[in-house]
Amino acid sequence: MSLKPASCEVESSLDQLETLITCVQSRARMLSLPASLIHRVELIVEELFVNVVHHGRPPPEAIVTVVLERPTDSADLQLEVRDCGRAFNPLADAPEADISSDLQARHPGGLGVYLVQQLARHQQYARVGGQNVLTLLIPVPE
Amino acid sequence: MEITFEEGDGNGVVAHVTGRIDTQTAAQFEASLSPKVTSSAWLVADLAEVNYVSSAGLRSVLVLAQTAQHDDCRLALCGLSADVYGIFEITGFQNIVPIHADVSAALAALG
Repeated sequence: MSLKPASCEVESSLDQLETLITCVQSRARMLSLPASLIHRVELIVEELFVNVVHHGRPPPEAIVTVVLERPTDSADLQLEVRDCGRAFNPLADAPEADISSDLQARHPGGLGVYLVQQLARHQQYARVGGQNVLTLLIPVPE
Repeated sequence: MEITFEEGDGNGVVAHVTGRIDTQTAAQFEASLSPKVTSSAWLVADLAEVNYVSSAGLRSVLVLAQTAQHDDCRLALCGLSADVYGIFEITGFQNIVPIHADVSAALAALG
């Protein structure tokens, strides 16, 4: 028997973030993930969702779908984020994060995507049938 | 998110923060601490009861640290969980603001 992929779907508006995170948390608990990995997944989902709303700018009623799965043959979690905003690849289009300038010169742009890139082992963007589809692999600690 | 303030010696403040510092709460975190940073000689933000910080929270920490430096307030953080500290480390934020184990360690470092 295999688990049906459970998806979380919310409208693409920032006030839906809490609903989305709550759904992702319960999905992550169903997969028996450790607490620190759940935090990691929440963080990745928050950063990507906020990016979609701010930069992909789909109409607010458009649905963003997040699917979290743990394939039986893999050591990684698979996370998929889909939205029907304009074609936007956050992995390529975000500003480069500044993680080393002095305090006064430091600018905060790009930190969200940078975190996603550091926390996920593999990220892939595709434009499929009018949707942005981001697929990430997140390592599960042994 | 909840923040309570405790006055310290020498025009200082300890801010005890509880909850998440994320896209929805970062503005409240920043707006609550900013006036204290502007008017105090030092401020310790105790994050022992914060289990989650996203890039929105990091952005607020950066703004507060820049305000503190500009207004001669000595700013420090303490009590970060391993997860939260990990986020600071990945983004180089441990070099932006001093981070201590707990409030007493932060107060000792401030002298």
